Amino acid sequence: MKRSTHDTDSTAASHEEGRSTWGAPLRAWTETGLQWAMLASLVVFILWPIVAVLRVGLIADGAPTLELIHAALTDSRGLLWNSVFVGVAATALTLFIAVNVALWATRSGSRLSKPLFGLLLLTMISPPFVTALSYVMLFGRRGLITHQLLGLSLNPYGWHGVVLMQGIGFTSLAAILLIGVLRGIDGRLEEASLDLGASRTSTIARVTLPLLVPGIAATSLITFVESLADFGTPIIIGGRFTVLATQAYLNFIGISNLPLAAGMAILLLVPSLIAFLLYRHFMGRLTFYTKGTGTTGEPMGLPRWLLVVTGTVTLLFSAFVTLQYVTIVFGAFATTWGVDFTPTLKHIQGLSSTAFASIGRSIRFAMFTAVVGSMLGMIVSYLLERRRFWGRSGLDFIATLPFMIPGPFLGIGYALAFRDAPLALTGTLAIVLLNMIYRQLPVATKAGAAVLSQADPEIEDAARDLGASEHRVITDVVFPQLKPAFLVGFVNTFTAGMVTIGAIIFLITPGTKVATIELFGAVRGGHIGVAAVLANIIMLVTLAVNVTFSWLMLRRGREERGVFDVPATRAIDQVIQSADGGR
Amino acid sequence: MFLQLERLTKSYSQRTVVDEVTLDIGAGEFVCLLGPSGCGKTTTLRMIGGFVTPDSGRVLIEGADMSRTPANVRPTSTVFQSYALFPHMNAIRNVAYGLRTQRVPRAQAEERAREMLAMVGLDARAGARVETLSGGEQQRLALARSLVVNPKVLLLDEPLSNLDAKLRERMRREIRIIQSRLGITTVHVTHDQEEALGIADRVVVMNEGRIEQVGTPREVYEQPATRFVASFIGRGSFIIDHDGAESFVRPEHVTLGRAGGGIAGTVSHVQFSGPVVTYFVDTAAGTLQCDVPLELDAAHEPGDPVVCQLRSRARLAS
Repeated sequence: MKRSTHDTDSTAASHEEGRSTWGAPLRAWTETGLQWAMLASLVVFILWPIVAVLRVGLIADGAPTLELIHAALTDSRGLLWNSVFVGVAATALTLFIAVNVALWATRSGSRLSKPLFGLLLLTMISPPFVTALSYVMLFGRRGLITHQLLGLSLNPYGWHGVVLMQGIGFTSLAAILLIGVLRGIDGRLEEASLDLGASRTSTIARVTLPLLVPGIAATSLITFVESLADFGTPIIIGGRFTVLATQAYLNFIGISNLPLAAGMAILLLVPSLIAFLLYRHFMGRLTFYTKGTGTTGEPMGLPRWLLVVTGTVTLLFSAFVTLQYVTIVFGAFATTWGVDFTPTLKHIQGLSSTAFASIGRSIRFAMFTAVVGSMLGMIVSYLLERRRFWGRSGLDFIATLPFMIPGPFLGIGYALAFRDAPLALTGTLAIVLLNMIYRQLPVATKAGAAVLSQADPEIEDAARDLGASEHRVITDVVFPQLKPAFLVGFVNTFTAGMVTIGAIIFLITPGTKVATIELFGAVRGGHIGVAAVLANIIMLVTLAVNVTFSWLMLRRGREERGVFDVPATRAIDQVIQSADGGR
Repeated sequence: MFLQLERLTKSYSQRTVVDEVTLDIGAGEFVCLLGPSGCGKTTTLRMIGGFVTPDSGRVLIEGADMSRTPANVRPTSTVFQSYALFPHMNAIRNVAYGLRTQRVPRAQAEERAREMLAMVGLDARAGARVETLSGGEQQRLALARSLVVNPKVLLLDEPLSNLDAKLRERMRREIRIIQSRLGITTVHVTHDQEEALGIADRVVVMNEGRIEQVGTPREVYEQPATRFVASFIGRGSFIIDHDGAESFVRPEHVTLGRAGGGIAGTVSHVQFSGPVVTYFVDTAAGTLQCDVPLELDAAHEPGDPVVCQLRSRARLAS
């Protein structure tokens, strides 16, 4: 019976006996209390808002009803169908590009793979509407390509643009995740296949791609849920084409029809849950295959035809993305985009003080939530991973929920859940920060769990054995090992705090307006120059903070490791895998 | 007695993994818990170390009941199977850690850590990162880290299982030399009978959560008390005597001849292993294994009729 269940008493009071001071038991009790409080907070800030949406959307006048769902479902614009259609189409496009890019990046042997990875990391930090904004700038009525170069005056608004821009916008993250999975595949499996007489093409088809399937499935799920939750792109370039997320937003903000917004949010949850259940059903027992021990040679190269195909897709993708970002940069300096391209600084100089204030807020909020959120994620992951207590798997499930719930759902949930005492938080700064923290908690928690499940629990026993109190075990031994996970949590939460809008747009007030909201306003108002300036600032700040922080954390590290490498991929898989509570 | 285990019992979801284990260990004694995997030896060790709380029974050190004392205040120290070295600390900080938790000032802690590193022959690697150390060095480091806190009882959880055969033998000697020099009471867990016989003052053979036999290495080898001990330790053959009782014969206690008194049989298989040649002889009492020293080998072939003389045998209790 090796390394049996850890009988770590979570009533840590007894751990301190034998010390003569008063302080020790007192501190142990405080610690235990804090730990329980953190776990309880998952129920309050994740589960309760979800329940609140369901309550408002499914219950009217004290009786359960499907009236609101029915109203949302029979909307003449076919909202649910539109959402699912865009979701499926964008996911298919994303996956097609991402698989090609990932294969090329890991198997072409080209020296350009590194810059490509840099480009992917860079474009992952994409404020919302950047793709939509660049679409308008390039293909709009006065778009650089369609109008200036081709002399056309097209109406570009409709589902085509939404699918195209979402598909490309989600590709960077998808490709990074798939690259992580491909790198993790044991190269000896491919060598064995070649050794047994298979061609490179059939090795790719019969060994590499099947091993990539779990990665593809997880990435599809993430992309699909992201697409469902995205209301910005359809608002800006959808024209008369509209989706559930957009209408939920408009109902909530515009005409304050909260119950209908809740009904739509619930409807939005259905396809996400179905996608999730399908994933669980087909991927249930499959796991990511990672490297065994032993050495492998060079990664297998691609057959020529595939090299050409993946290379072409990668090139087109990279060119398009580069063009997008260049457009945004130039847009900040063009007098009036599409009319007068004279260079100017007027958009920068003309940035209002409220805009500056919102940027400052974005940075402060994102920094605060990134630090607090990843700390919380580390502690929660430790408690869930190493302690045994009743309800553990339930809490583990709750901790992963925000990941598969579309942002608007959780935003509306917060707005509905915290209207009344004892937790009347509507309109406060706290509700915004709490939402930012708990919405990103799954990634931090699961990155922590991924590290802890690899770490030897005997190391913690060793510290106890050498006299460390439970408190010291955590500070001396657990946290130092969790550093990479903390970094993943920090970068993810900070980036999300800087660029996302889906959930908090339902919660902000003028006093808590952040840069993305300001950007949203500028895009919708047609102020392309101002919007471009804001988008650039958001990107630069996010990039600068992430790079600085990663450098600070990793400079003493042994190996250079891409922040979004395998640990992040595994974290995301773990989120999904464990979301049914059983592992 | 220095360390006493009194009817220690532990179950996991209705499976009893340690069943009423009682054992007295004297000061400075080196005791091996030996048994196949799943026999409860590691759980027993973890109960002594304070990582597993017994369902019932007591652990006493110098007469004081330690059963409910948490690991961090218990005067025991464990060398873990995986070594469990702190990956984010270098060698000397690993060793100093246990002193630092006792609030020994840093300079003093590092000085004592350095002495301990010198004792295990690692003084040159004090500043090395853990993952740059070889398997043997990591093992020594783990030992130093446990010894520096001056534990009353040293616990070794299969500490040699991750080393290759040659190194394992050397570390076995080194551990025993250091242990004798410090006179520290030691409990060592292993599934390797050769290791147990080679290192221990006393061997405790365990099976299915219970103690099968306690004795010196010689005793458990030459007088196995039960069928399990006999078959688990070393090689040998079970034979049925004239009176129907079962006894056990070691292969080196069988002499092979072409004729004369003894048990008649036929050679069924021959195995060469260097210093001895092992013959498997089918007899009416059962198959007998017989080791013939190389220089005395008469080169019997399978199918040859032979006669086996038993110079010594052990009667089994059950």
